[in-house]
Amino acid sequence: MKKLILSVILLGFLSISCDKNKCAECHYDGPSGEVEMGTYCGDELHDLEDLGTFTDSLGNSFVVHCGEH
Amino acid sequence: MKYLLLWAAAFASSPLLAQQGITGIVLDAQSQKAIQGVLITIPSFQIQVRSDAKGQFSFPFSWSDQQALRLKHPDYQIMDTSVFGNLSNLRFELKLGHMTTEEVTVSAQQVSLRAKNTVPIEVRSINELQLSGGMHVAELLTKIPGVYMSTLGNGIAKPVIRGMQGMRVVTLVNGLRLEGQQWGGDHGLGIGELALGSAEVIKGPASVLYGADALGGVVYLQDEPYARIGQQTLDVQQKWNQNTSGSTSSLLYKKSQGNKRILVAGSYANHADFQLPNGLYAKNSRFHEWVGKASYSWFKPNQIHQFRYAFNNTVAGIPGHTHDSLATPLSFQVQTQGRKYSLPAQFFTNQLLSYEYKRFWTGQEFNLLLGQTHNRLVEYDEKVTKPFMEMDLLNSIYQAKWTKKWAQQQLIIGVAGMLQLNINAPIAADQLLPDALTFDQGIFGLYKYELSKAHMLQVGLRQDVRWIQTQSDSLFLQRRYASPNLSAGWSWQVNSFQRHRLNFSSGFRAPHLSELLANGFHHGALRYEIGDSSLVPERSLQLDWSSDWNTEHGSITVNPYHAWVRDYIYIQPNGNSIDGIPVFNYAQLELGRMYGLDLSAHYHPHWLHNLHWEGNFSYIQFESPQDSAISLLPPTRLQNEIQYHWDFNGAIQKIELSISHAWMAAQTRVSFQETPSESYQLLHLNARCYIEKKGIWMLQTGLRNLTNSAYIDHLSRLKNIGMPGPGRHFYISLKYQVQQQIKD
Repeated sequence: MKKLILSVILLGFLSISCDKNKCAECHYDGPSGEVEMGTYCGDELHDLEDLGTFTDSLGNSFVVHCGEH
Repeated sequence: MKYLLLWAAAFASSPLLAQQGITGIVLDAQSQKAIQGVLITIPSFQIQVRSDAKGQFSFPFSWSDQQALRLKHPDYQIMDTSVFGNLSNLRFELKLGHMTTEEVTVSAQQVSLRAKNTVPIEVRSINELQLSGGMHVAELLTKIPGVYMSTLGNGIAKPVIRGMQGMRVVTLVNGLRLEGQQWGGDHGLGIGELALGSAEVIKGPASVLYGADALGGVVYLQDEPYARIGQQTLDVQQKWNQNTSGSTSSLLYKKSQGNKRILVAGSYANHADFQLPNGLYAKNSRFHEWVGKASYSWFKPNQIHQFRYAFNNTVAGIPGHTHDSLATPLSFQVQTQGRKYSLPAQFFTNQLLSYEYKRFWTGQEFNLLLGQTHNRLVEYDEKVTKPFMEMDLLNSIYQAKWTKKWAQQQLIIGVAGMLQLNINAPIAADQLLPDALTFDQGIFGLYKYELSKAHMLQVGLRQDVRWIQTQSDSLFLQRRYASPNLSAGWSWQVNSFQRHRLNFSSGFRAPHLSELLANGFHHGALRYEIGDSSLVPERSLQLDWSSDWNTEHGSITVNPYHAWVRDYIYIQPNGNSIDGIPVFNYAQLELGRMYGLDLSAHYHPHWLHNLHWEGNFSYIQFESPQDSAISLLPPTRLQNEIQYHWDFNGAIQKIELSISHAWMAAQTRVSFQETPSESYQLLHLNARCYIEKKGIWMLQTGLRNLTNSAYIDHLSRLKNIGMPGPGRHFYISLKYQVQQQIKD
């Protein structure tokens, strides 16, 4: 029974551990509306959000949003 | 109805249980026949046993002092008595009857009957409150007169006591103070319904009992009792809510054997966006929640040890976010119900660890409570990988008190303290509050004197000190706040059915770090906040009178109150905006008066035995020479509920049906630039069925907001965006409990 109690406590601590491999769908606000960029995960997602913008082939920069909102 | 305390320590002629500890027998007062199934509880020890077929029971331990005992059986009047532990072969005689009696309370720093306390305490069983079909603890508590709830969608809610909420309401779980960044209107209670047994609410200042911050009141939540000695139980429950397409699954295991007891529980809830009366969905109002609890207790003669651990992990969407430059209410309402995690979102985690020790001597008792809590609040606004705000709040708490009882007097002397550390994570994009250390220390004394059987006096004194110091090089602040507090009460039991109570209490609340030093976006609250480091502590003095009339078939309580409030801290818009977000400043009202009336009534006719009508009325006003009103002042409210139950002898044991109606008045007494609210009504229908077949089944279903009213509650943080509450919907819940006797 002590094992069961410890398991519950361990579950509690595990539940608050960070999920380092997050994934999210990203899009940018283009001139004609939202343009889907697909799903990014982990470091790629991190780098994209850090950059914050997407630059198209014409050199136009658009704000990137990840995580539907 | 006459209530007799009739017991005698007599040697019974029938054979006694040959066990150590205390034994006894329970008989019908008229027929002298043994009563099986009487639940005998010692509230101080949180221990229960049940009488067997011969009416006999035993506690496998003894105590040297006098302890309160409660004997309860559905067909008999509840008996409250007190027993010395050095006696044995106890004999109790119960009288037939069905009216409930006074509840046992623990929130006033002592285990006592509500009748033996001058402090205004309301006690409710969580199981009874759950018949209303409420979604969370804060909503369940709204059945209590004077108690409301403040919400931000479905996933975030907290109680409001006589207009006071957040930092002005101290919440305790099994005596341990809950610290969960309650300064934020978008930060919920952080505790689920899982394994909760009862809720006590102290309305008004309770700083003598619980120190600084208890200016508005106290919510004391207590877990379910452990399993009866010699028993293990397993509860499994599944709930489904149509409005959110939401599900809650929970498991609860309890075992009491010999002198050891354990309780282990867990639950998971997942709710999508809630549906509005117009058929659309409240965008990003989804949430999911993990809750876990474990308790372990053991007792020896005259002492009890108890360890408890609980965690609550909630991920909640924060509704009210849009990129529309010209937002309308429809900007926040969508056609598709969403469930997946989406921005902006709040990750809220609470962990509570406590150890409690009780030691009893003749006429004395010592209690020690040590606790460690950890709250982590993470808010993601625009980025998934980088939180906008991330704070850890670590609290180390202690309380030690000594109780002395003699003749008709009782004295409690105690000390309590808390060391709190607030830490911002470096990864966060912004810091609304700096890192800071807070240290609270208080010393208190409570004295109770029963002048006679009819009159009782209670006086309390407390001195508190709070130190706050920031841990930031760029923003240094050091403050010390100290204040004495006093409470005095008198109760008069006029006769067996009439009682009056007068209580005077003071409250004190030091300004919080957020009020002193906030300087940044608080996206969850949809505002930019600016603190004021010159704020001084709030103070309150409340006079509370209550008159109770209780008969076998009804009760009425009239409870007017009046509080003077000094230096009330509030927040209001200054007319500016930053990046389109309105800017709010903290300020102070020099003087204000909060007064009101709580009424409640219960009727239970003799000619229709199974019918119950309960009604309550709450009225609150606030006046100040400086402003029209404070923000989020609860409107006048009238609630009525009619319950009827049928009892059966077959597999179906009982069916309960209730219909409840709530009327909320319009609220036009608002603060500067606050949105007023219109009046609304809500009608709910709930049904519950108890079945005994290879265990106990409880099936509950209900229809909420029957008329599909498009209401906007005044205390909803979404009223500014015109977001109504949930539309008409139904829910269903199935609970199964199996019990097993185990050998010692």
